[in-house]
Amino acid sequence: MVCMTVGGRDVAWMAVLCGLSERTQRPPEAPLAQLRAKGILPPGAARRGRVDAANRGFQDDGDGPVLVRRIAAGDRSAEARLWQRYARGLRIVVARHARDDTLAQDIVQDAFRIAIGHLRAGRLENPDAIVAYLRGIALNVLGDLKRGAQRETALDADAVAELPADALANPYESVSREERQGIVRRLIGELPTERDRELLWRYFVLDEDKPALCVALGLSPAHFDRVLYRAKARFRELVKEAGVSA
Amino acid sequence: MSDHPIDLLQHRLADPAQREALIRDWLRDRLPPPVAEAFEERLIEDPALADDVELAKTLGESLRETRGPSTDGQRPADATRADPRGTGALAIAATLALSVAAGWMGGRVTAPGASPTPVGSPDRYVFDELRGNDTAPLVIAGRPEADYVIADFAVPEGAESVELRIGGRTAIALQRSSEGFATALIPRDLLQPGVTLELRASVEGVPWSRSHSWSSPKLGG
Repeated sequence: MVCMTVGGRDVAWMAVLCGLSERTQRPPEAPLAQLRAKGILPPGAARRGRVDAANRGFQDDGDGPVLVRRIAAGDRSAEARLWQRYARGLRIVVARHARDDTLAQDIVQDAFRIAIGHLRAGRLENPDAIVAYLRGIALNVLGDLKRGAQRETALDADAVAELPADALANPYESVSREERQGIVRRLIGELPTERDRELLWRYFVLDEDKPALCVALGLSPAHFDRVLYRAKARFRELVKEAGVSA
Repeated sequence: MSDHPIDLLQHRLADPAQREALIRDWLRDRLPPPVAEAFEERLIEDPALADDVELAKTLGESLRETRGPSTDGQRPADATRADPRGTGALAIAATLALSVAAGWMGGRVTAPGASPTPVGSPDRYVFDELRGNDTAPLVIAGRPEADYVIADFAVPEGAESVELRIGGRTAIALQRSSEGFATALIPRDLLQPGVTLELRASVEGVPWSRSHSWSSPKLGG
């Protein structure tokens, strides 16, 4: 309990080293500082920020800045936590930039190996910036790849704990493409009206925007939102069912 | 509330309808760079947002890939037939353009409704910026029975959010290749004489555009 006497954010870090719960020890200011640092919150917006941070459903346990400090302190388990925490989101972002899902997976793995090497060496001065840092490294790796430039040497595979690929998975691709097409046909067949089917089709496939579609189909924005929400919820449900049965 | 774009982003994400619009804009590369960057950082750290993005992306892709009769005989393409503007053909072009970008050619097209099978080696038109806006494109003859043509457009280095508008209709998102061209596979019936092919992009944050008027150029020109 000696570590409890240390002030500020170090309390959380020291608490981790002492085996205490991060959830109970982490200073409440940390998420707000992170939001302010990014400009998401204006200075002094503490009350609103606290509510928003809660609504965002962020996990206090395994919070990024805490993991950064743990990695710098030599905690190898924190490296795996960092991977589990951010790999999927980073893969989605990189895939959009690279226009290639498979390439994105490789890039994210390389980026994490590079980042972990830096974090072990304590090279990230502001742990609150971990998300921007990971994104920056990943996009640099992608940029280097596009330019054919020499890439920064990643750590040896043995030096970093295995980065399990399942953390990168898109859960909606857990079933085959053919199964997804069957699901979509079923989804379309379940829609109650031809107009709802047309809405879905024109919105997703023909790339028409909501205001124009509402006018064209004589729909209220609320009806549009309902159809879209139900379609997505049903798609999620059917994919989950198919994944379980498989 | 602040007018700062990142502050606005936070509030938009909290509203379900605006969240949906934001996700859609990000997937289509339509967000201004500072907002896109903030959105991506949020996406990386927020599993719920990541899930919403993948759901929207996968549902859209699955709908595009779906063809043939459904379980109740209802074809998704019925909506396309009801579309008086014929934008279904543009969707086909978008699908084909993606296929070209992925290095795939000559396979079965998965566009719903028409489900056409493209004939391999279509005519290829190269619109090289260095030749000037009104200069006829270089044409590489292919098989005349092909329903599509390949069009290559020179775009400047650093161009982002490249899109092609055919006759001012729905835009098709394109990707600049390392050789400096954006390539689209366009249904031939969209290329009526006089129709405008407008290319738009953002180069280091500055809007860029080029227009080409389709005038049935002679092959080999």
